[in-house]
Amino acid sequence: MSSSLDQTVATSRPAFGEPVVEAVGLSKTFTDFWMRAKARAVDNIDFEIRRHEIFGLLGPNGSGKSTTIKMILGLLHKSSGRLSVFGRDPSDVAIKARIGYLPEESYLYRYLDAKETLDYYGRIFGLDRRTRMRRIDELLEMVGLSQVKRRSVGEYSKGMSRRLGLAQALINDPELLILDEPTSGLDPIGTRQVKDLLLELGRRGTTILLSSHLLADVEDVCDRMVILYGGRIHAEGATNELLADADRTVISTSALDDDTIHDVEETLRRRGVAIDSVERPRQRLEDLFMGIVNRAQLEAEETSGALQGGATASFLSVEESAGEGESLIASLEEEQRQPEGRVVERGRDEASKSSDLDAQAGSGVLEDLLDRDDAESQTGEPATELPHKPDDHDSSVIDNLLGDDDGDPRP
Amino acid sequence: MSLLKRIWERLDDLQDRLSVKIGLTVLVVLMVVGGFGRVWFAAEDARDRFNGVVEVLREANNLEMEAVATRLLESGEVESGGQTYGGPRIQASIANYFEETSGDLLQIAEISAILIGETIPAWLPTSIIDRPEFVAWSAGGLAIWLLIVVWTGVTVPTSLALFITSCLAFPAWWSGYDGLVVSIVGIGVLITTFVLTTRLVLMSLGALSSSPGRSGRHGHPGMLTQIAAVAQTLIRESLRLRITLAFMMFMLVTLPLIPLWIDSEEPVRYQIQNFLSDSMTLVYAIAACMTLILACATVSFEIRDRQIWQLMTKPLGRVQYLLGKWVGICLLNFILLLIGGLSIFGFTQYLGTRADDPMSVIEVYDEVLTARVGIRPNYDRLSESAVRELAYEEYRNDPITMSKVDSGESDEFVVIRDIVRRLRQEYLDRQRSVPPGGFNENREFDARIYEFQGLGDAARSGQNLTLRYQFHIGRSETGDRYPVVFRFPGIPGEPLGDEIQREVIPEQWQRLLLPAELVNEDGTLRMQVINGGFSRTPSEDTRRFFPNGATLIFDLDEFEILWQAASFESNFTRAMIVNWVKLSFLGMLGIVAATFLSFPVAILLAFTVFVGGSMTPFISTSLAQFRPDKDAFILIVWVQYLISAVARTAEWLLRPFGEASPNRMVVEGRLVSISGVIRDGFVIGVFWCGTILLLGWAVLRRRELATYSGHG
Repeated sequence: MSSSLDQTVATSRPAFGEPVVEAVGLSKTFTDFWMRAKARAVDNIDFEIRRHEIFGLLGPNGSGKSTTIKMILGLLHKSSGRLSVFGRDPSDVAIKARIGYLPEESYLYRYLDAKETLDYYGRIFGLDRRTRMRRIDELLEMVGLSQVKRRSVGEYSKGMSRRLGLAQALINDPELLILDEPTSGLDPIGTRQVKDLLLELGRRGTTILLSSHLLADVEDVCDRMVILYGGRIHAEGATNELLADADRTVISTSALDDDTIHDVEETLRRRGVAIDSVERPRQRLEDLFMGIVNRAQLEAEETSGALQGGATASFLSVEESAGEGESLIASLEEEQRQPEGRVVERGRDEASKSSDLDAQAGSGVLEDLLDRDDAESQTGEPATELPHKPDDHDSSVIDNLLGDDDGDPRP
Repeated sequence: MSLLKRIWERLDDLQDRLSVKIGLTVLVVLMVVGGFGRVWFAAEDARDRFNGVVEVLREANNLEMEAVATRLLESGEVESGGQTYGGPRIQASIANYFEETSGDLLQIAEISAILIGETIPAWLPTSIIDRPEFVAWSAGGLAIWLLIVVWTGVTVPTSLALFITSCLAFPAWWSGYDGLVVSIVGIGVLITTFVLTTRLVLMSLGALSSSPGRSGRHGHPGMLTQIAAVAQTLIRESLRLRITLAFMMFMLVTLPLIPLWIDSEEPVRYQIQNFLSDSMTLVYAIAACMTLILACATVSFEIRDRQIWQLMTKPLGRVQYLLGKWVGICLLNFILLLIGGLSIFGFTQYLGTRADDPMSVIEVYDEVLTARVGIRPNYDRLSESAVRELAYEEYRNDPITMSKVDSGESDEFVVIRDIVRRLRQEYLDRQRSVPPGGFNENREFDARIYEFQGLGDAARSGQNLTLRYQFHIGRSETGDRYPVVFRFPGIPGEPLGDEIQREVIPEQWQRLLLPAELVNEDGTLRMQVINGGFSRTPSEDTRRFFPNGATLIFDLDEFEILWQAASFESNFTRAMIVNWVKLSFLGMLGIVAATFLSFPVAILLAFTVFVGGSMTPFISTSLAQFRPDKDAFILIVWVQYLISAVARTAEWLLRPFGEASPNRMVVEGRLVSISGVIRDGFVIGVFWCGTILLLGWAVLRRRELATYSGHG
């Protein structure tokens, strides 16, 4: 996930493979203490998510999105139907090594700092020290928390927590990434960054399940989606198919004068077609916002002259799709590589989806984050909202004395 | 400020250089060897001289007019190894120490200690002369402590902490408050040691929880690494949650202050016993409270705050999760007990130095800083048939009770059962009472004889035995004195003679030293207790027996023989291990309770079990005395029976927890046996914890961790 300016479209998306998640007649009924049905959150749904696919779970609040995700993750038990993940029951612990999960809110340990949090999860996954340290550094750089990695998570704003939540979901370089409302709590820059990341991961072949009620998020990144309402599927299909309007045609040109428009109208009339309306298109507010922000940051870049880090973690990028850690030589070579020097190739599919993004000069979200980091380092405060001191824990003198403890006394 | 910061950073860099670490290591070794070497050699020298004096005094016999005895009686001096000890102070009282019949010198060890006491350097604690290994242990402990400081890269902060501690202690030292100095230094050292130990544990867990070798793309989760990771995070949590940190700090600060409120005017053995009792109770209670709170909080809050969603969606099994939490709590308790134990042990030794006269030293090491086994006499028990026969006979001779049974007012079974219980108790009570007399003018002894079995090990070790007793006679007023004769039939001609007469003070614990030779080859010792005493009339120069005016009685635990079976150090260590096992159980209990209960309910349940378990001896006694109210409404009686049944079940389940009370044993100087430690470890630490773990695993596996939010 590098600067949009730097991106080059060279790699196509891998073809969709076998089903990773399969649900047949899946239902979930919540009961009360006396086992009486309280609510039927998911009602007899069928769907499958294929390998390398970015799959959207769309629906309003209470439509069954989160319940479905929690069943996939084994946090809830299905009431009926069949559900398999990587061909196994969701409660199978072994499959979870291949899954990354970002809940709708980041449920993090308030008493740990960002580095300790990622380190903890890295250890749970059984990552070796070298891999763990490398991924932690890259992920923190990627989500813009490297400057505050030693600050307790309890002091983080919601946006910072979401960023850390995203990082923890990626620490194991998952094959299946499940994101529940990933852009909730993020500012437009963070939202854009997440979308860019999803597209990047999609190009790399990661299967993604995205649940959201923010339609633009799903539209921008998903290959296929289902729309849930009342626990049932009301629409399912490829994004382009679902959104295509076969009854209408839009011709886009540079600005035309009234005479030319009149000529076109005449021509069409002769063919029996009437023009419904002629108007000057507006650009999306997101694009306008990102353009302004990026221009401002580009100016700052000239003055500060420092732009380091912030790139997509190298272990998540397309170049390492063969699997990081599988080759010692590759790993050693990687250490010699500068993260900011990476070039991320973009697929044609994605290029078409994000053509409007590329049209914005300097719209790279990571540069924005980097600039924000620089600003933070200069002002000593993060760009996001002012953090607050948690009241249920204490970074004591003892705690400071304890320092780092990964077999290495040096902090 | 920036200068200080630069200095700090410079020192911080320096302490991590290998050359500096090696240099500091050499310095540590030199300091420890130099400092403790001097103590070691001085103690060895004193010990050699002590042994030399003992050898010389063994020859002393005043009836044979032996030279050593003569010189002692004339000048109070004795010569050994070319050095003369003693003087007029010894001469004034030495005559009392020669045995009348044999002329041998009694209490040679005590007299030898007094003789060489004046030649021992003032800086050398008398108590360590007899225990050179203590010097070696102290030197080793200090060296390890310092080397850990050096090699874990905390030389600078540790030095700073010790410097600040010294600064705080200086005014107290300047003002002459030595006790306060010890307490302040103790607080500083304890906190530093706590930090150091915790750091070591975290580093060890960090190393354990890091997969060795290449782990691949998604990682290679292993059970041990995951357990270590969860445990490491739990310890971090405990250090950053104010409530648990407060408990730990309270312990580290309070423990060194306990010696300050111990009355220094009391005999040293009581000072030490009071300190042991207070400090061990404090450490255990604080660790137990912290354990229960932390165990319940860490799981219930993770479920409530949903961090567990992110954990359980990773390749972490429920068992690994629960075990990781448990191991973290166990390690935290290990740290607390290690620090607390070392502190208690250190302060005990410090208090031991207050015993400045040899008798006090002997008393301290015979009564408190020891590990003795207690043997009670055998008591006859009525056989089932005999007691039932007696009960039915009494019943048949009691027309009132029979009529009640006939009219249905009483139940025959209950009546007979109550009579049987009473008869058994009375039979036992009779054996623990000695009527006045026991000697007649024909020189025949017919007083009650008690037999102690299982003293073979004590006899083989050759140590003195201690008879520990507390009698009740007459009105049992503490100002009274009653003569009582202890006689050892079948062992005539022993150094103590075949009888020993003592003045008994009612309601007071007393002790009598007995030579191991009194024990028979089969390990039994027979003892006759005569309720009265002999008095020699000067006019007739004859011995006459005068019985006391009342019966002598004692309870089951008020008459026993003790012998030292192990050292205090090993006993104390075993006691701490048992405490650790009990705390481990509490940790597992809290963790599992929190898997299905919210924090307040889980902590209530866990504390109820803890208090109930600790009170099982009391509950057992209460249940033994329980009788339903026969006059009450039948429903009330049923409720009483129900409560009794619940209490009996709880008492039966928790009995091992309540019976494992090593602190009381240590305070009383009693042996915490290895077999007992193994039994408690297996029953409480393995069986109970394992059973509860299985329950927690089943609950957590079945439980839906996510709940219905109403938002789909």
